[in-house]
Amino acid sequence: MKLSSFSEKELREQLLKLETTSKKILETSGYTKEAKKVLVLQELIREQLTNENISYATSKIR
Amino acid sequence: MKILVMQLARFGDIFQTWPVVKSLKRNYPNAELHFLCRKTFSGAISPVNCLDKILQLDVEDNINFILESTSNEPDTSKITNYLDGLKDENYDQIINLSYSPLSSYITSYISDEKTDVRGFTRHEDGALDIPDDPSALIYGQLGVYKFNRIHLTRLFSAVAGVDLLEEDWGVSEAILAEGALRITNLPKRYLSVHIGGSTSEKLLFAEQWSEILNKLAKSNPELSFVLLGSSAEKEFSNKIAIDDSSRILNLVGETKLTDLFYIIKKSKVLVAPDSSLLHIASLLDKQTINLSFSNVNFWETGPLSKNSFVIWNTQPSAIDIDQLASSIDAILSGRTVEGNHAKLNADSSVEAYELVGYEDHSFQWNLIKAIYLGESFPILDDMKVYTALKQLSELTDMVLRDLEMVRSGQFQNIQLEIVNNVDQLIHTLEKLVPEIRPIIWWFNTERLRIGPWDDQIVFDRNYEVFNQLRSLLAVYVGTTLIAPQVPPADEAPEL
Repeated sequence: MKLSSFSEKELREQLLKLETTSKKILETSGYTKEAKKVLVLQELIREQLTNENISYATSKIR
Repeated sequence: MKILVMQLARFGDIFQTWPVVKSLKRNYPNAELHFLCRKTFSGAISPVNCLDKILQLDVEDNINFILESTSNEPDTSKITNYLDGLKDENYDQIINLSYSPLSSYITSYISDEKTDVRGFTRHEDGALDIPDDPSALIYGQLGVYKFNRIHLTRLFSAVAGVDLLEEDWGVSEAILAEGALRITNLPKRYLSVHIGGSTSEKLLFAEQWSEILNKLAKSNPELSFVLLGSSAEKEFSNKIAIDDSSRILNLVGETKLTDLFYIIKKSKVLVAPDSSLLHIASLLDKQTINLSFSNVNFWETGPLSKNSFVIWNTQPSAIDIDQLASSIDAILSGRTVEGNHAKLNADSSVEAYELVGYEDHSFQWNLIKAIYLGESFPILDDMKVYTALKQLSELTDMVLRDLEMVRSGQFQNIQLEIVNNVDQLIHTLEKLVPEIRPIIWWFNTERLRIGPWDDQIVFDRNYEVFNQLRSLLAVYVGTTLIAPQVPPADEAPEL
């Protein structure tokens, strides 16, 4: 399945889920290995939402 | 020794990282050198043959995996496998040249206390960690509408801790030969023209290109034009036309990345907006005319090849076509360029260009050089700026007095609250007086660099940063670096 087949809504829903999870981990266990993984995924999705074209990263990521 | 260079930005940034990678190999010939980039952009690093491993981050695959998961909790199994694989490499040094939150979390995951990390990573509580001074400059002063004039490639080399020599640029003969085999219909004498750009704000209109190329065709009868761009720009390129259509070779959407090296190498000059092709030209030392606009800081990402020029306009619609065509014409024929421009200053080790014709508002840039490079502070000749610096100095003195009271055990809570409120006042000064922004951005970055350490260390470090700010402001407040028209401190008006 191609990335572009997912809507912005789906990406936003997933981002919210990841944000909730990372917040919960940070509050209960701190910045653990599990938190880092979730934060990596969170940022991967967040980058797509700030871009005009989700197939590419833009200079905003620098 | 095992080194990982991370560059998770796009094509242009990867090309600008090449010299650093080659310099690392030159400086550490026995080191195992790995490079991490996004899969989409990995073609931009594959021609570099000194790397032992190119690692790819497949963004699309990872996002698809997590989006397809039906679980209520995020499924981290795929990213775990990927990150654990990177961590298992046990890098001695990680040089993160990406400057994004994503890259900082990846660096944090795959490093440990023994790893020498350069560039952004994370503290043990997850807060941003900027371990080296060049990265602090990047965080504080780099970007559009900021005032830095140090080129990104030079900053990358400073972060990596290596020098750059001429031999660190260049493209292998094998890559050029590959292009020569595929592209066999190039005109004898031609201008490479990149009509595209990563964002629409960097694009000239098709009519503008047609007019410019027509004028150049008339004044250069032997010259042809090779149009370059991505397949997404094919339709746009078909709208570009000149009277003698035989003098245009439209290769938009028909080239592989490696072909571009050969095409640009063989051309007389590259004309390009702020795009990755001008970075290819820099690697090839091919003279470039960069058409730059206000959504890019050309000082940081402009061309580095000899005799290159930047012709700057606020936006494509502001271009004076006659003036631009005349400037390009002058550059092609080696005559003096009449219009405003910036030209490469090969002798400077700091800013890559010198401005010709533009009014140079360089107070902020001179402040950056003074703060970060130890150069002289610029003379101040503006009453408003002087008053802002004086007020900032008074705030700093107040904070230092309060911190000293906290240190001696007096009125802890009240004093700490005052310190916190000072941040808001400093922010107000920053908004009101743009000239002092480099000082405030430096100060904010240095405070951000204070980690989640022991309370006493955090306190001492805060005190030290405020004290450094006071020393910096003392250069202006009550001393000599002030033009005669600015009155002494006690006579300055309030903002």
